[in-house]
Amino acid sequence: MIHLGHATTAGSTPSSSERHLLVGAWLFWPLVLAGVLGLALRTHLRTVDLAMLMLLAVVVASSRTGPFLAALAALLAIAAFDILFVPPYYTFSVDDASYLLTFVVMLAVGLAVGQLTARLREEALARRRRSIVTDAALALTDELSDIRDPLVMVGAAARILADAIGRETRVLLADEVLDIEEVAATIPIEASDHGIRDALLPILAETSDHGTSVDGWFVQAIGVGSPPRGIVVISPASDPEGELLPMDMLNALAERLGLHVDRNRLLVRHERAQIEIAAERLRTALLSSVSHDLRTPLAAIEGAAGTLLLEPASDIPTDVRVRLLRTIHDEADRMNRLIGNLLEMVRLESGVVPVHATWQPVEEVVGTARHRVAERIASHPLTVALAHDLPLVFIDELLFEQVLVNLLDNAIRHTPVGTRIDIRGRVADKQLELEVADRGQGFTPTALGTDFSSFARGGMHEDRPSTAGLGLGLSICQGIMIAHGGTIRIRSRAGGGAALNLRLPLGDPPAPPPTGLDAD
Amino acid sequence: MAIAAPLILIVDDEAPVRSVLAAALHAAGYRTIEAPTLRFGLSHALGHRPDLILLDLGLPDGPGLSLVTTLRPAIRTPIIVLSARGEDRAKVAALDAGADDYLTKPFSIEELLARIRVALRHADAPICGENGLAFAAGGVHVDPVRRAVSRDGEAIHLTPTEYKLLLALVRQAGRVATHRSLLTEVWGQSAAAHPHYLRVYMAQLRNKLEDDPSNPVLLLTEPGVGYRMIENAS
Repeated sequence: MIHLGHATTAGSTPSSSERHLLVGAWLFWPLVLAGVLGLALRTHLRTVDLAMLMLLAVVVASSRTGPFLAALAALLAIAAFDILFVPPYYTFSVDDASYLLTFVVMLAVGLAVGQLTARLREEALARRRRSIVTDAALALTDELSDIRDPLVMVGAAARILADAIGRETRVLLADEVLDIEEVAATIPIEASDHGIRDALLPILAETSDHGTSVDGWFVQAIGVGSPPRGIVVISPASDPEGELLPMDMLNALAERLGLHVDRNRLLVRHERAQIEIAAERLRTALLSSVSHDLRTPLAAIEGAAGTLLLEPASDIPTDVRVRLLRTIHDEADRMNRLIGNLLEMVRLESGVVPVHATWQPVEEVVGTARHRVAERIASHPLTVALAHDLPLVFIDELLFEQVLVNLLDNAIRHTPVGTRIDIRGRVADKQLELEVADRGQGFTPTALGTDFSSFARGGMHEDRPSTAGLGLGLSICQGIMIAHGGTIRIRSRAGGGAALNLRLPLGDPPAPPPTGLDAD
Repeated sequence: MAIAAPLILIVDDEAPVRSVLAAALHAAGYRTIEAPTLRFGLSHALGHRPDLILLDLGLPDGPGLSLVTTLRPAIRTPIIVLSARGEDRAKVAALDAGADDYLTKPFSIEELLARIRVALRHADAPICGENGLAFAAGGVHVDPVRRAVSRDGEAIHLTPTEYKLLLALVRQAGRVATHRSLLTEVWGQSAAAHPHYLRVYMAQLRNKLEDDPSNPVLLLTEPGVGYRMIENAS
């Protein structure tokens, strides 16, 4: 897949003919002005003064034009001076030969000022080019460092280059190796049938450090690798004389862009590897926690059943026998819940869980969750505070109930008997906010406020030591919330304890039943 | 004269499950017959005329649902469906096809016995809410003759739709009533277009009849299936 970034120039630079007019004006007006002024004052001034006036005109004119036009200005000024101010007037003939020296001085001044101006202008231009390149390079660094998406990247890069260079710019970046046919199809330029395509071929065939210029088009490969992963295509300048950046500077910019492209690619690859490592770590953690959590109740069941089978029934006191049987019953129940969660996890991970959402009151699903944990939660006082104006929410009741059951189980398991558990529900920011909060030890600061997936990845065992499938249960909660377009977050409670915060977009609830039809 | 203990047909392909169920049912005073497949189940159901059928939905030779559809509506023998987690669709389909109740594996024996008692009672007793028979549970009293509802002796005002819904639940008391059956019974054919009406009216009923609507004790939710009105064990 090829990502194309394309940017045209926004600013308008003066066109070639406009620039010529401008230069002509600077050549023309000082001389005319000096001539007219001189004519008006000819009777009051000495010829030497008039010469100074013309010299001023030459300096002004040549300071605004190039060396060639400066010489022209000097010659015109000499001619005008000779005709208008050197007797005999209105002829080229010169009475006093010493004026010839004046002519030479005028020419010399014109040439010198012209040269000086040209050099100054060249230096200014070079400075401007350098600053353009520096600014563009800075902009590339600033804007591209945080971009991961290649499409966003090429867009930003093309815009930065186009803004800096003042020429239409295209940046192409391929996920894989560039395919010349595909590239040619991606560049919607008129020149693609001649020139550009031919220019692309050698570039793609081997990585070249330097760009190629074809018919005014500039093409350069970017990024390490052969064939390259990307190219920069800069369209010809609309005005050949107005072209600011020479080839080597375009090269420098394209190279800089190439560095960013490579850096970005490595970064993305690195991040992906990090995620895979984290996922692997999670899997291992889950597996060890699950196998531990499954074996514990099994051991209890096996021990209790073994004891009951070993001794003749009459030898075991009734209360002991009841206790053993109760153990088998309770532990089987615990295993069932764990296996249920495990299956749910597998189904969520494989993405086969369809969300059968319907519109329903929050109260109802809170009720079923409470019902399901009724026996276990008897040891913890529970308060439920749901706002009265809660709208219907679009949820899969079975899945959402599982979320609440897991959160309640979590709170029951991690807080001492008698600790209060709170369920709160309200609407905030067009979202349903439902919270299961306890007064236990809470989570470590690192887990707070973080997104759930990172919590699940990052050492669930450090956060709360006795985990009977804690990571599993919360991961399921997250999977279910994501499937509902919602989120789950850990919050620390003022006054101690942990709060698990669920948020669900409200959407657009259906109209309530018409009450008119149900009048008394 | 001693009345023969009710005969219960257990249709389940897992031998350990059958033997545990049989042992528990014998202990509770029932007689049992067992069938490991759908075919045996059907033949026993027709041949032995059991008083109640426990039907596992995951049978090797066909969907348990087909046993329900074959028996209904000619044979009214109560059927309690036993389903595993994740078989919610099949469970609801069986209930809509005429099964009387369901239990999700694993279930406690107490729960099973309670469901069996309710199903057997409903099979041969007059139904509350019909023929003017009053209903009372959890402090709530429903008198269908006077169309009066009271809670802890205090008259409760219900809208016609609320009353209709309550009566539908009362008639099914102790057993699960599926969303679809309630919707059709209360709202008729137009029900399918407004599935959330049922939820809204249930919430209203709970507000009027329950102490804590978010922790109902009378009008229970059967997630993914429907509602169950509890019945005072008599």
